[in-house]
Order: sequence, then structure tokens, then C-alpha cells
Amino acid sequence: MVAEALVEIKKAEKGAKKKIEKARTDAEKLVEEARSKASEIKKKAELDAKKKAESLMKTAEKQGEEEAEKIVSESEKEAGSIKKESSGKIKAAADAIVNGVLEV
Amino acid sequence: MADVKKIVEKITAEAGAEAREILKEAKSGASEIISEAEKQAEAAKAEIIEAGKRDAEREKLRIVANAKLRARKIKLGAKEDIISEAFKMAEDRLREIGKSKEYSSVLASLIKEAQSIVGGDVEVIVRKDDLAVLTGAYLKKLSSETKSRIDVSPSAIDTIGGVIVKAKKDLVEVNNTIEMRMERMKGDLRPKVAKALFSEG
Repeated sequence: MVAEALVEIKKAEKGAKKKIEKARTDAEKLVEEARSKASEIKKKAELDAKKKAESLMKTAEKQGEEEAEKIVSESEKEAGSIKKESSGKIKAAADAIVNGVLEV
Repeated sequence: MADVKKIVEKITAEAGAEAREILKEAKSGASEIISEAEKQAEAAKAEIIEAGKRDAEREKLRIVANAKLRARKIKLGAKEDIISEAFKMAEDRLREIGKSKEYSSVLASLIKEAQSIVGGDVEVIVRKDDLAVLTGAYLKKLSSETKSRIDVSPSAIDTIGGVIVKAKKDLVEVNNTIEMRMERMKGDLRPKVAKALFSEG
């Protein structure tokens, strides 16, 4: 009777130990999975942010180039105006040079 | 037997409670790990995007600044073309003066100016065509005005007009040809030319 009781108790203790060990294994697995997910979360966030930064850069470049084109186009118009407006004054300027060269 | 059953039940219950506690703590820890990661990820994301915004703005400004430089070059280039045209026209006019009636008095002024710089008796070197201008009477008048002897070199120079004057005493020479005068005076003439060409009115 005693022997049977001891066997029963031993069996229960073995079962308890197994249960606790399984819980520990499952717990470690849970934490490991959480760390893995955490790493994924950070990687994805970094990737998303870099994509966003690239998009911002492309937009800025496009805006910059559009503005640059306007600036250069405007300057070409102004250059044309300068040439047009001063073409009638070239003779007077040449006179100034001739007088300057010959003045002693 | 009932006692054994109670013992077994207790052992089983305690193990179950401990197992549940272990899992409960693990879930709590895992949740914290995820939560912390999400915070860090958001912070890192915000920093990368902020830096990206700054870089993008800087690049836009760089592109625009380059365009402004280019624009300035274009306008300066236009002015430079016109100024060059004016100098070219002046050179053509001076070439014509070199063939005109007024040239002999121009030459006289250039000889007198150069002589006054080197001082004393001089030798003058002119174009082949100008040897005919430097007659005896012409040179006599110049000598009287400069109070110096003026000899004419038999060699000739290739020039639009003007003269090279060499001092007899020390061979110091002044190049008073039209081209050299234009070159020497370009720096002073440019602002006057620019004013004549580009000022209002």
C-alpha cells in the first residue's frame, strides 16, 4: 500500500516537473519570437523611412529643377533684351573707345 | 489512499500554477519587448525622415543656386558680347582713321606724347604708309614743339596706326601704336563703355 502510494506520488512529481519544463520552454520561445518580431518592426520602420526620404528627395529635385529652368529661361530673355536695348548704343560706345584711345 | 490522492492533486495543482505563472511572465516580457521596439522604430523613422527633409531642402537650394549662377553668367555673357562688339567697331573705326586726312594730326599727338615720356632726342618707327606723312616740314614742326630732334627709323611696323618712339640717350621706348593704346586703356574704357551701353536713358 505504501509502495503504491509512493509510486503514485513519484509519478505526480515527474508529471509536474515535465509541465514546468514545458512552460519554461514555451516561455523562452515566446520571448525569442518577440525579439524576432521587434527586429522586424525596427527594420521595416527604417525601410519605410528611407523610402519616404527618397521620395522627399525626388520631389525636391523636381521642384528645384523646375525653378532652375524658370530662372535660366528668364535670364535668357533678359539677355535678349539687353542685346536688343543696347544694340542702338554700340556706335556711341565705339565713339567713346575711339576718343579714349586717341586722347593724349 | 485518499491522502495520496490529495498529495497528488496538490503536486499537480502547484505545478500547474507555476507553469501558468512562467507563461504569464513570458507574455508580459514579450509584450514589453514589442512595445519598446515600436517606440524605438517610430523614433528612428522620425529621425530618418527629418534628416531626409533637410537633405532634400539642401539639394533644392543647391540646384536653384547653380541656376542663379548660370543665369548671371548668361546675362554677363550677353553684356560681354555687346562690349566686344563695341570694341570691334572701335577698332574698325580706328583702322579707317588710320587712312583718313585727320590721321596726320593724330600721329603728331601720339609722337609728342611718347617723346614727352622718354624725353630728349628720339627715333620714331611708323607704318610703311606713314613714312610719307613724316615729311621734313612735319618733323621740323614736331621738333620745334617738343624741343627735341626727331629721326625716322627706316624700318617699319605692322600696325593699325600710331608710333613706337625710342629715346636716343638710353634706347628706352614707348609703344604708342593704336593697338597697344587700346590694350593699355581697356581696363579704364570698359566701365565707360558699359555705362554707355547699359545705363537707362
